[in-house]
Amino acid sequence: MVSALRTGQLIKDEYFTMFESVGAIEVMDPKMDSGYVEPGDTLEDDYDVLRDLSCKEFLGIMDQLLCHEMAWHDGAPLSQTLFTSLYVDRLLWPDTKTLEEARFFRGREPAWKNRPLMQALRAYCLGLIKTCDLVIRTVISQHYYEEEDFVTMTYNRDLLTRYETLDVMALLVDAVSSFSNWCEERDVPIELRSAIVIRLDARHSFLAAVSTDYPSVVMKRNLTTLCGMLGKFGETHNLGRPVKEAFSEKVQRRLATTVPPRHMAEMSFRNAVTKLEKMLQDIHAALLVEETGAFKDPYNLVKFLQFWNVRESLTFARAKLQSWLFGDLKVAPSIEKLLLKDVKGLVLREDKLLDPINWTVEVPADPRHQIASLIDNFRQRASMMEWIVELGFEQDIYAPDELALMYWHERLSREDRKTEKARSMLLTLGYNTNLTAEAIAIHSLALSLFTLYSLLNYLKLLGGEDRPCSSDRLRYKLRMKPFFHISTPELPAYVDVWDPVYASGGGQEQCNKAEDALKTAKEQITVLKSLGPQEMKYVGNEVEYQNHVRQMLRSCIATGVAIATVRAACAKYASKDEADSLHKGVLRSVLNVEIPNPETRYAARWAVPKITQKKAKS
Amino acid sequence: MRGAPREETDRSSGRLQSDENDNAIVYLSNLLNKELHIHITDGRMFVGALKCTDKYRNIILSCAHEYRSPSRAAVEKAATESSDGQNVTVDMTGRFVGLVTIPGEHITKVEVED
Repeated sequence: MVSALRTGQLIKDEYFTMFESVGAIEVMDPKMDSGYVEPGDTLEDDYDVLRDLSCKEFLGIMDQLLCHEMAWHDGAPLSQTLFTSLYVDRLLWPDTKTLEEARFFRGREPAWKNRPLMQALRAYCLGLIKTCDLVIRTVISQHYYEEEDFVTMTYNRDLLTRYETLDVMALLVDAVSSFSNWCEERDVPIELRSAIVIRLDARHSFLAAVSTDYPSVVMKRNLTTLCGMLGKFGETHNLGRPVKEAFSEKVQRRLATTVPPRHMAEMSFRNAVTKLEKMLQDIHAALLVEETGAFKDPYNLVKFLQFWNVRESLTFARAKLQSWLFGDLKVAPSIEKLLLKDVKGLVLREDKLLDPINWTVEVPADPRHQIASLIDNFRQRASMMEWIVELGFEQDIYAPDELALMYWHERLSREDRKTEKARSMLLTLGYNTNLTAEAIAIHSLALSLFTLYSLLNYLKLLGGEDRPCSSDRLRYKLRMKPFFHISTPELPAYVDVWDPVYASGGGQEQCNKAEDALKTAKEQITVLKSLGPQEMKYVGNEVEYQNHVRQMLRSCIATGVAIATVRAACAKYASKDEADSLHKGVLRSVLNVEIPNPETRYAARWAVPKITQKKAKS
Repeated sequence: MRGAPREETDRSSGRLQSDENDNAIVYLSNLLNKELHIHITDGRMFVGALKCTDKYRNIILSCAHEYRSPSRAAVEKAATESSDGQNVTVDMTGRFVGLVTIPGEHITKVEVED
């Protein structure tokens, strides 16, 4: 029938598009078809999962499985990791109705009772699979990025979801005792025996740790114990002998998969143990969130989460943290209450504006609802603006000649929390004074750097002249773009910004201004030093608080050094006539400015220039 | 304006060709979205809804399942476990594969499910 069609003529469903067809797997193409068997190759592996293993091989296989498990946590799908294990494959397929039936065979196998080693391997694998099941359940209950960070696909295989965690844990406990006895009878070397047993115990602890049945205090204990055990894995790894034949990509031929065949994921044992240790440590650190009353202040919680995010944890750890944050609503009873508490902590407490009744009004047209939304928005916006600029410094996106503008903005965004405003309101909370100290310190340091950079711009020491397609106005638009549509806090117009940046009094005058601001900053930092992490809302990040203060102080000192160098040069090559271009030209030739990149700065957000003086050209 | 020479000189066979073409279009269009069983050269069978085909018998199936004949070992096992010892049925093993394109050159048989 088809031969009667013309070349290029297609019979297709009207809703089926060419775009969709691109995703089709081409059968018989080795690169696409996961079911294709190369001529001469066998469909399945002929590895016998029931063969007798030596203890060394048992140990080797357990370590290989751990590598695959961590590769999975790292983002590789099960089809390229744990499912390539022929032992795991046999346990999971075909499905069973009872846990007992989940063995390396189906039906009966008379010799099974007398094989403690194989039973122990089975217990280990079942523990591993059940751990993965619990991990997937936690991850999918929270927000995550499928296929980018983590792949939850199980290819139609059931990961022992029907069976109780406790039953699997019991199997592990039994395995340890019967295997130990078996080892005694056969005089297995003690190091080999304990290496295997510690892995079985660790699997038991890991399973307990990912189970949601236990309170956090038990989990903490489990995590600590587990980390201790992991420490011993490295030194015993070489006792094992890996069994390459026990893992195969051919398993993909039997998985319900709509993607092309892929290679097994690789990960070294050392890497796997390190990743696992880090993941457990991240979860341990996140447990603070689960303790009621640990964070009395939402601002503190926000800070804690920001610092925790720097760890760049694996998906499972992030999901765990999310489940504690939003799980049973102990920590964050409702987003509104959290925000309300947040705002209250900063502004006047008893103002009618902050009457909680406002937040219960849901009619959008009601002015009380509008007031509530405005306040929430303002608070969030002000923070966001600061963070955006700060991020720009950390990511090093500003050109040297733009730094003046950015520090000018930094200084501005702190204006609303600055001295006069805060002090003129009724200070009902000591909290407000503490935050003011920090605000003044940051404001002053930013002002000092702004003054210094505008002087350097005036002396044309920061480049930026050779941009034929650019203009000051365009640069301003570019950098302030995120803030244009915001009405409060208000962004000044272009004209207002640029003048202070490029206008310059005499060199000495600018240096004076910069040094005065620095002095204020240092005074406030001394105040911050005397305050503790508790008052400054750094509970849970005490070390980070010390670092934060120290880094700011060092940045101040470095700024002082830079200002002094410029001041000395200005004094040495001074001319009475400020408009004298030779003066600028001379200064330009003797001063060398270097802006360190974020990794080498004391604090990423404080780009303090390194200024050196060289001999003048005659 | 002069038409294409072939149409003028082969008017009778030209019309026959276009008739055949029409028949083909109608017949094949009727098969769209029906469940087809496609057997291919290496022994596998694909079952899925027909979405697209062309002159070279390239076929696109959606929501397809891939089936293989049971392995020798599976057949032997079923034979030993069978009750009457005479007749044995063993299911083909199948798995979901989604959207597939089967090149015409590999197709050995096409069947339509009733």
